[in-house]
Amino acid sequence: MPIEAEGIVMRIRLKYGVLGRGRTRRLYMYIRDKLGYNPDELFKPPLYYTCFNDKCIIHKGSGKYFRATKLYEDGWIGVIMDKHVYPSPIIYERIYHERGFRAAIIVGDRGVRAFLYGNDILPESIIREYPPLDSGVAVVDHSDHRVIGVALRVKHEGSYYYRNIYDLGMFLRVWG
Amino acid sequence: MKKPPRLEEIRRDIRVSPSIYSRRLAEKYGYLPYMVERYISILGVDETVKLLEAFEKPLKPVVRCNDLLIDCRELADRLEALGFKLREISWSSGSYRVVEAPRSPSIGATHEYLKGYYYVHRDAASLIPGILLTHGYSGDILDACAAPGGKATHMAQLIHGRGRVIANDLVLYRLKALIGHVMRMKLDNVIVLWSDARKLPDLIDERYDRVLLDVPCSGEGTIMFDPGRKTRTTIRDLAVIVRREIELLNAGLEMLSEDGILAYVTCSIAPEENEYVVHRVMMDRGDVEIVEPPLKLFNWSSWLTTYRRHVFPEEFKKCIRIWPHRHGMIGFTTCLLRQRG
Repeated sequence: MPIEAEGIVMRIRLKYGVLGRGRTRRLYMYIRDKLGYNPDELFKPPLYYTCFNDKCIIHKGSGKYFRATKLYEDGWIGVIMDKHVYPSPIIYERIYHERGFRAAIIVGDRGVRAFLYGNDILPESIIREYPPLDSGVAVVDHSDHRVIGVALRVKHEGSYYYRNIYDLGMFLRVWG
Repeated sequence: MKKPPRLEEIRRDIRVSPSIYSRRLAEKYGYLPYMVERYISILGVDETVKLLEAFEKPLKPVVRCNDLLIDCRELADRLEALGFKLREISWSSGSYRVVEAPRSPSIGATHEYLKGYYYVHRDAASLIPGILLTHGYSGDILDACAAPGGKATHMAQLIHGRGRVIANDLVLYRLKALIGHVMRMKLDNVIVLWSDARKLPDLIDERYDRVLLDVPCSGEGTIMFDPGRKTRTTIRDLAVIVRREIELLNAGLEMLSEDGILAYVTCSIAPEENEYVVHRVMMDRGDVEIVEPPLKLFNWSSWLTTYRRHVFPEEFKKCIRIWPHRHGMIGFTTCLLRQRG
């Protein structure tokens, strides 16, 4: 591993710890009520969060590993966006694999491309909707049925579009 | 923990006086003269020129398929449909050199990449330590200087279902990238730690059967990616790097369980950062032996047993040295070490 070139200074504000009870409860309720799945089969509390600046993820362990600082452990559970919690694609895909789609939209090629650039999804890109659609919905690529992010249904001038909450393009824009 | 040697002592040991010929060649290719003097003393003049020429040619990246998420043949087909031309790497299943690429998208920005179907390595050489360390192994692995995560995610794939990777690094923004790769590739057997690897023996009570120590080095094997490295590291800077490498290797060895194996890895062809560091630590400790790699993946070169006024142990022939002009890869080394009980 070569030493980085000098002169690159990046300030990162790090926060990590146990996910609060309110957020844990909201994530549980979403998975139970909207996705129809028992969250206890996916993970056991406490859950943990780690934030690099304002980008926060939920996973299975932060804090101490013996006396070293642990930032992440064993599997991505969700993200925190604008104080709301949403499951990760891993969680959605595991549920869909067992139970089929719920709270999901299947999106065509153009919609996938736009969404992965951080854009919203327009009605003409949607191939199929799987209710309930009244809270976050998983955005699913029609070509391989992989979850590529989460969106929120928004009414605008008599029709609906889906506002981008997070998408896998964040691995280039944020986590790269 | 062993005390690191004094800088003056290292400087004295690694001092090089370039000849007029080395200075001329260094000037022609834009290197610091001491670097070229070393190459000539190891390779001779003709092969040194071949090495310097090899550093002028860019290398194509390597894609490592995430076979936990996708069938590798299907991935190759999908990338080829996007316009990439791939050549399979014979000794690493599911890894491909990108020999041709379309104008868009770049190999690190396809939908397949974002879905975690593969990792992009700058070169194939970095696949070697993971394959050797995990061969026939079940259990946890400590990757002491892990970010940005190429080797850590590779090992996590290779031991999936049989063990976890404890991936540590000191540099926070690089750890962020590591966590991004772990999430993107949907790996569920990685723990990420933020610590100075030199302090791990005091911070962690656990000891490991496998430790990967890919030390922060001068990067003298990666000049084809970053020509600035031709002049960035003076011999004084090199002494500082060498001392840290000695400290890191001592700490890494402390993290080994009895009979455990440590892979000491650098992307530098400098004998000071490889043969000298390991020899120095072996001499200081007296409890370290070299381990024969469990596999011969291809016809790699071995470590040096003599270099200028230094004489190194014969068992250094078991350690691996990749030369850009001989192997068509970055300059890279790996040596497997065991701490005797």
